[in-house]
Amino acid sequence: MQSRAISAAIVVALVAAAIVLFVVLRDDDGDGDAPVATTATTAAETRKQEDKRTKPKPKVPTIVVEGGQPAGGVTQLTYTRGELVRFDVESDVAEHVHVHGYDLFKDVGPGKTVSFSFPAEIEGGFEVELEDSHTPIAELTVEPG
Amino acid sequence: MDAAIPFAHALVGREDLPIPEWLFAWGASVVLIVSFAALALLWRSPRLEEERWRPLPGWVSRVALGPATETVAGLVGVALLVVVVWSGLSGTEQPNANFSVTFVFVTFWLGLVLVSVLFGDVFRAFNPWRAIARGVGWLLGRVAPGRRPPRLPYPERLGRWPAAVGLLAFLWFELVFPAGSQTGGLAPRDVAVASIVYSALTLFAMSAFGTERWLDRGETFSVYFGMFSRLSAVERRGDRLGVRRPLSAAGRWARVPGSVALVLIAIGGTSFDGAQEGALVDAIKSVFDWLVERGLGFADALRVSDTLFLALTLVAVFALFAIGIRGMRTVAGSPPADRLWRAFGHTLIPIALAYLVAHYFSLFVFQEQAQFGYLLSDPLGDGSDYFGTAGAGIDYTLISATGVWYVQVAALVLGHMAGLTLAHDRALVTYRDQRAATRSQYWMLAVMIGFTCLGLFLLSQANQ
Repeated sequence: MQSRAISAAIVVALVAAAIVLFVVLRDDDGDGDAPVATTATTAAETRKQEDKRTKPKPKVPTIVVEGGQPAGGVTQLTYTRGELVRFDVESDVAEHVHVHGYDLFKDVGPGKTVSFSFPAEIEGGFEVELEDSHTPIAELTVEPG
Repeated sequence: MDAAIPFAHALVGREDLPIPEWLFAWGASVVLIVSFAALALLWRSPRLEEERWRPLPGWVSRVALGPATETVAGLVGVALLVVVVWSGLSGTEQPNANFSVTFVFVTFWLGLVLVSVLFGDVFRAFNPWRAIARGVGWLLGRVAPGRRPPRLPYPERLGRWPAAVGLLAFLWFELVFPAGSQTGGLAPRDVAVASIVYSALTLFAMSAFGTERWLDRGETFSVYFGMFSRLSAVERRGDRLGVRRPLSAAGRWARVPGSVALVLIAIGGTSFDGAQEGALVDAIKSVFDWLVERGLGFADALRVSDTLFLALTLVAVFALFAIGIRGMRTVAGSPPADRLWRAFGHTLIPIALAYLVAHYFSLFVFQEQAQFGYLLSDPLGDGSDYFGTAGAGIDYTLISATGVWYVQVAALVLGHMAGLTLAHDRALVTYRDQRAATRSQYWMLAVMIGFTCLGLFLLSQANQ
């Protein structure tokens, strides 16, 4: 009987410890700047910060496609849920730009730059690709707010 | 990051965000707490070695196992196999828009694991190859009664090795083969061809060794889903359906040769899939670059480097378990290593399940909306609308990223607890005195913590 009481006490103590840990570790996240300086997110990250301070003259990242390939590699676009996702795509070949998850399609081609502008309301990682050649041109990351 | 190499995947769409550092730290701490609690609260006599199977009321068995149910389920299984082959061969080449890919790799491969854990070995009833074999047997019995073709005795030494090899082949096909494909996913046509080849092999082996024997030992999917059904509380015995203590039937599972390899391959495959998107992405890329520089084609180079790292992951997973067994051998009065290997193999089944849930839970939730939405009405992706659901898309806001994280960590922690429970219970019957049993369990504890923290680590490194 006594060992049972001890067991129960241990369980209660451990559950309490787990809850305390959860709260402590979680709070830590709140004030530490969470976006963890995400991978080389130059354009989007700076844009995000600018957007917070000043509304006018937002610098929208432009993804340039040359010969069917993204110039400078796959762009990382990182947003927090609720923000406005904005980017342009310029291409020297006719293609369809597909934003996975959000399932947005737009035609792009020589002399025809397309602009995307939509609220970041689906969390997760999503590819932005040229639909016909299946070439990834950007990786959109939407983090929970 | 420059021109990223695409990772091989049967399907592409939404990717999970890596679990944040605080959740990683919390998960790992809870794992440690749970482990030490397990040591403190150890019970002294085995509790799971007895299954306590009790039959359910007769009408349940008659409905669930009756000939009508069996026939209908078998026909459904065969029909679905036909749809997979048909949609794969004549449908769109776009993996996400073709019935075959989502059905095989999500609804079937992941869904039946879930069903098996909840309701027992349901796949047995729906198994298309079993249904075909039984149908043919019935026909032969009518046409030429008493003239059964001779059977080869199944070489018992092989145990479940054929199924283990089949599992490895399946994982390679899912995770490595699509590398460098045009669509970034698995070509539906290849899914159809693989289904035909596997069906032919299975029917051949069943006719050679006997249907039930092959289902029990060699048919990869029966063995794989059967493994998870051992965790379930539902079990069929003869023509009766009954309930037993959950987890208790797992204990008998690993006695057959090849079983431990099978569960380790399952864990290794999921680990590799997680790692190729995060922890191993740079290593794979450097091998890939090295191969390309030496003149290998893009797709081949990616397949070779993926195969290499899949093999390395498997070696690491085997090594982790082997270290635990080695350690247990050092405890006085321990049985030989090969017996320990089989005595404790089943403790990894909950870990394999936890890995699956952690890595594929979100894929399952989202992709099943496609399965029962547009793929149901438009299996070929040609614009048909059989049931009026062709316009239904996937609602990616159904679960938030935070919700996915909690499920992932909860799955790993619960799997860890179930694994520890099974291991402790088995130690009590393997070792004479409780002292030695406890001492041996320090080693299993280390193995379990290793697996669970590896799982957490892979989640924290996902898609970076």
